[in-house]
Amino acid sequence: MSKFNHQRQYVWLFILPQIIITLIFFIWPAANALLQSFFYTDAFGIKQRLAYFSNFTDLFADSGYIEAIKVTLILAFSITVVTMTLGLLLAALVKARHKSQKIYKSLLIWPYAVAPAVAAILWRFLCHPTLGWITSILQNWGIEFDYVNHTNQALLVIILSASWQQFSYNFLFYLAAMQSIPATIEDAAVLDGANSWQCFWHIIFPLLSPTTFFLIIMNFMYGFFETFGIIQVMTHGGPGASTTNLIYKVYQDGFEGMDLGSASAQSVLLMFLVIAISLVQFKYIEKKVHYS
Amino acid sequence: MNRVMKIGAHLFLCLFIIIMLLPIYLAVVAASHEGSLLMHTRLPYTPGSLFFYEYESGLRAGVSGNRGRAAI
Repeated sequence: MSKFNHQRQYVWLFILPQIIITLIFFIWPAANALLQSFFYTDAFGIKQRLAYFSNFTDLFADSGYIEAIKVTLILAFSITVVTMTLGLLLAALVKARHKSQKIYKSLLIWPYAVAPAVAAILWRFLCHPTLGWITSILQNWGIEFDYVNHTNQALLVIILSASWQQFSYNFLFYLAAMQSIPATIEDAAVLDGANSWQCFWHIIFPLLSPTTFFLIIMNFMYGFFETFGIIQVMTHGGPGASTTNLIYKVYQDGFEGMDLGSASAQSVLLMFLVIAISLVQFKYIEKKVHYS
Repeated sequence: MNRVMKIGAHLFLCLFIIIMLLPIYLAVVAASHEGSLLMHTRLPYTPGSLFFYEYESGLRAGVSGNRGRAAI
């Protein structure tokens, strides 16, 4: 019994640093944001007045916030569809190669090594309204391209640069998942008379469903929270508010508008969203995926 | 038919890789030209002559604004 207690002390000793880090860097800021969201605070952060739930109710009366929700959903959905479709297609093609598989794999994961802000700078150069290569090519084809002034083009450029970065992640996961499927399953289907298309849709794709579900969650999280760097470098949320998503609006309201109460309320809503997504991920990722 | 599909797959993969690596190639090209050129004219499609010079000065003195001074 005393040995057991002695071991328990060691367990606490080992997990204590992680608990301290979590408390200082996660729980404390989150609790502060939660507290701040119930107050009106002046621009200098000196005077505070209790606002109860006004910061939250004001958000849903603000057309800018509703627009930001729309932009966030468009971004997240587009990035998810583009990256997952391309990731699956390319993973299937690369998996079928034998000698050249390593070369293709190495080249296709390069974009993942580029930091979001650097990726945004590169895409800004490529799509620059007067100096960019893509602009030049499109102008030669008679297409007017100026993402700085056109709202739809700005959104498209953000989707392209974010998808460019996130594609490699999807590709790697799909490739790893495909490689882990035993060849005997595919061989059995071929013996039963299935062609390669049927084999893919009826055997391989259902077996990839846990990976697909995981990637849907991760891509949505990326679209929601990790596009800040790209938006900040490329468009600053503009033109107008056409590329202002929820996370960028927190920054705009909190650091540019100095409305700390509203920014905290937005952060709290985003925090609950992350908690909800994480719960869905943990609860359903293993249980609700069926192999037909 | 099988051979045609194989070549087609390779071609598609190569084309996709070219598109994917275009921004990285742009970084290499931009790093090999004079900084002022990038701000005023369209960037050339081929690398310039300053590739090694830019990287050497980048490694020795940090960012381009710091040339001539020791990196901190």
